[in-house]
Amino acid sequence: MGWLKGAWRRGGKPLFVVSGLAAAQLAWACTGSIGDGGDGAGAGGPGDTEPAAFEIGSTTRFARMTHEQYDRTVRVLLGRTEDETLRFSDTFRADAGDGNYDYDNATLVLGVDQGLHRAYEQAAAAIAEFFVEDPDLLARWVPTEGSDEDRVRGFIRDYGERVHRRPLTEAQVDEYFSLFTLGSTTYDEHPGVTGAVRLITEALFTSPHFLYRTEMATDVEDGVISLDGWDIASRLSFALWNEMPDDDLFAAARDGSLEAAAGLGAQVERMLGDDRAVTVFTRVLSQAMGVYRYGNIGPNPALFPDVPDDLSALAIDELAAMMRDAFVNGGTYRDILLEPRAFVNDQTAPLYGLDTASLTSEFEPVSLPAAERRGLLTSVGFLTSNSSSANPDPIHRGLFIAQRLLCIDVSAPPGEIPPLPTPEPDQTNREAIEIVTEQPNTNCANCHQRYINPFGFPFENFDAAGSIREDDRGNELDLATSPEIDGETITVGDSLELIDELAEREVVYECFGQLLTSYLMGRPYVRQDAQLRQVIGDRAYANRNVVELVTGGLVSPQFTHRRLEEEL
Amino acid sequence: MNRRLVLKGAFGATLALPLLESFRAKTAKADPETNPPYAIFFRQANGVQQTRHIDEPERFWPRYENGPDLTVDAMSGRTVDELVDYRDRLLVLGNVNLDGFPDYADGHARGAIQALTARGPAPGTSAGGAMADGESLDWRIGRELNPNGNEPLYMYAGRNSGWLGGACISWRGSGAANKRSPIHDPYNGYLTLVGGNDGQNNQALAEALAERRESINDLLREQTQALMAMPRLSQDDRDKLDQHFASIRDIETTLSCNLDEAARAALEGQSMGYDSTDGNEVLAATRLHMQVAALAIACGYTRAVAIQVGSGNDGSTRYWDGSEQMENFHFVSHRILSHGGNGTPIANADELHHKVDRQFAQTFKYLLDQLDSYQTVDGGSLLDAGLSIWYNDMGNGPPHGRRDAPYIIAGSAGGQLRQGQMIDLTGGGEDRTHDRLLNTIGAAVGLKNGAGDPLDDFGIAGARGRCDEILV
Repeated sequence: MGWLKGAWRRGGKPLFVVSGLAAAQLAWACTGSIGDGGDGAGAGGPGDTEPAAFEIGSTTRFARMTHEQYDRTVRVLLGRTEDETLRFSDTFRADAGDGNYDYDNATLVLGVDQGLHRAYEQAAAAIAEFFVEDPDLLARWVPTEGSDEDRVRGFIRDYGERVHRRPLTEAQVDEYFSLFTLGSTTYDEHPGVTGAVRLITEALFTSPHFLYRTEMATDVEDGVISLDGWDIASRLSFALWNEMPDDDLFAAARDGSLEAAAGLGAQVERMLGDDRAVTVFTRVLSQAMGVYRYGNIGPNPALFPDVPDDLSALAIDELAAMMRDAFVNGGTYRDILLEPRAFVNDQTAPLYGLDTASLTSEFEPVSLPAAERRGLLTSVGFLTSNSSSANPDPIHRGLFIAQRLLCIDVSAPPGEIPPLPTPEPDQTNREAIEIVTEQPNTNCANCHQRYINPFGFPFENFDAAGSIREDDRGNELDLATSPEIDGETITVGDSLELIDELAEREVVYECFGQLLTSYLMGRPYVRQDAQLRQVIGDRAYANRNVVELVTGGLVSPQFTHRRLEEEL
Repeated sequence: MNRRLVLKGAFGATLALPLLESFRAKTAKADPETNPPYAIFFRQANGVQQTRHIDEPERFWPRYENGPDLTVDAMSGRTVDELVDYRDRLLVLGNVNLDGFPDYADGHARGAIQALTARGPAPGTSAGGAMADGESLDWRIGRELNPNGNEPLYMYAGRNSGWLGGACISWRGSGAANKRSPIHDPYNGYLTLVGGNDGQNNQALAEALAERRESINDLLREQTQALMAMPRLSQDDRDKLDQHFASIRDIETTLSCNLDEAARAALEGQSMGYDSTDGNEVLAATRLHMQVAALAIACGYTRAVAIQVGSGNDGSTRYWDGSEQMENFHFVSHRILSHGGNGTPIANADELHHKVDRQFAQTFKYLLDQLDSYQTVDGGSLLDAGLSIWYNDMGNGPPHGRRDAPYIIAGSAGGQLRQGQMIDLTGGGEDRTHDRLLNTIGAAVGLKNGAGDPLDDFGIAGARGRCDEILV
């Protein structure tokens, strides 16, 4: 693909495609199957145990906290949840991105190396000092009665349970207590018990049990591992709130109620109603809907002089407003696709042809003419993030639909791909692209003609700034295509007809289930996740709201169990 | 602490007095035992502005019509003339051709990931989601040759996002789980190499800190080993815990290459540009990375460093043309206002690309200046003891070809490589030569193949041999 491909999606596999949930038999260049997702190391349990009752993909037992989760969790442990300026991760090196995964909790790449461990050590030292300098924290966690040893052991048990996010074994308590003597004599300013607490706190905050979400349950049931309440509490809390569990969740872990459906459901409902979940899922949904491409937004000012300079940032805010609204106000995925409205402010409204009167810098929902626009795919953000600086980019618009709405696995194009030509004066953008990508009997045509271009050309009446255009530099627009959806070739006259068709197809909702499944598992989708995808997808197709989709995933057995790995 | 080097000049590094006497020992010449060779890889994206395989004026390579020697005349007017002061210690390589590896499905992925791995992508990955299918040479050097299990330094200036996820050249092995996270902040790089002893140069404090840390680390190692002993761990989890265990390091109180207070403060205060889109800030951060790199080599902390500028396609950095800021480098390298192939042409984009190349050449020279400011025990320059390699993922702007990717090597690893010349590697055409070059570099630094002979089997199966034509 060569140089043409600089802006393909993170994790994207451009051009050569195929196959959706149904498309299976294709030319050699179009391989893979929708939702296949690759092999996640086998289905169910290994061969030496009885088959699992359900399929579950492999997940890590050691999900390292993201830096944001680290800061948020430290603030909880220091009783400073409101103080967002209290950050100890500023000196941490950033984590590498996983180009195949769009969310922040990329468990595959979140590891610890020497540089990061050094930074953890230094942060832990600062946290420990902060702890012992705070009389409220000392009073809260260090018993005042008993011998010095009893007091320190009490601190280790109680505070250690919070830091480890599960009760410590007596052996672990002894390990930490082994630091007592050194700690009580090493700090001139903090002698005795306080010094011991300081050194032990430093150790607690560099423990792998703190840095990782360590899943310790090993009980095998029906060929899979049943997570214990502590494991589930942390899975829930980091997935929904991006931080450690709160007191209620710990209580539910301790009394075992989290391991029962009713208790789990109650906690899920409580947590999803919290503002922290709103923040998390506004971001998760934005990432699922392609915000990773919004940094590319940049229409050429010479061609689009009225476009705001910071359209990229505005479009990110627009998408966040749309996703937040869906999550908070009972929106469905169908709403996201179909509702003829947009979130605009005084800078972006003109791009929709709207008057700016009464608008401010805040994004507000406004109704749009149903004959012009419909949902996410006609938003300025989607349209401009899939445009060059001068022209619409129907290839990427189409590719987004293929990959994100239909979960078509787009495989790699072979060899070097020549750059697309700039359209001639008497040629439309579509015509220029067709000439390059749809030559008969070429590998290019196999995929472009069938799976990419037909999803992108219907949007050619939206220019590179996301505004409606009547023609293409004086040339007549042709918006009609014949895309293949779920194995059926249909004909659409424009983007609105295409959107309507997509919104009717079950495969689109199952694909959305796949996007959410991937987040809940903390890694790219694998084929053993198909049952979980189906649960969420079925709810989406049944027009359940977004919160109910997330709920469906969280109360499914795949979220409360772990795959039984082979004995190595 | 490696005791073979003394500081000649820049950057305010101080070396502890107890070690100075060891510097009095002289050796007749660079000795692999006392002056082990190293490799520093400095990576630029998007090709360079050259004439090979593209109809544009030649502005990069030295003139070689009159022979291979890097004379002032031969270098004049070309990008490489920024390095003319080092012409006798340079090796300019042409005909460095990467493999086509069609599975990458993208020139940037193919170049950025292959450049230090000499392999195609991990199965099932491609384009912006491409992952390496094996370890990179910097990691291999560090893994096998670094003292005390130190990881090789990997530093990155540019946005922590973008094509290929931003940082993308250094790998521990195959797949996402082995993608290395770079150090962004140069000060963090410094703290990493001084081992948590943050440069106070106070022996008592350092020893107290080391004692506390060691006690905690003993506990952490036990905890980690207990996790590692759990049954039924996946291979990914085993690897993750192994990596974690190796990351628990005690503090070396004898480390004596700490920066002085002023230098530390300067480093800490100047570290803001590493996550910028402003080309001047990005290159300023890169120069700080180079300071840390030179210090790390001088102190014997590592035998390999990788320094990356910009994401997989450096698609957000906007370099400067005098007082005018260019479009992002990826656009400039395409010659149009687009990350794709369809956009408004950028006026004089080839000249702008050339100006970016010059800025990279100037930045590379800064690295050479840093290395040259350190003196080895035999009175030589640290620059000559190793190999500093300025390379690109690809050959040219459009069409981002895989042939004639520029590799400029400074230093000879103690006299092993030819100097003062431009040499086209033999072979090539459509065939790859790049893998042989990596083996040559690895062998010069001291890596061996499975039989204990100089490295010749790094990279994709079938990659064999070295570039004898550049050896002394």
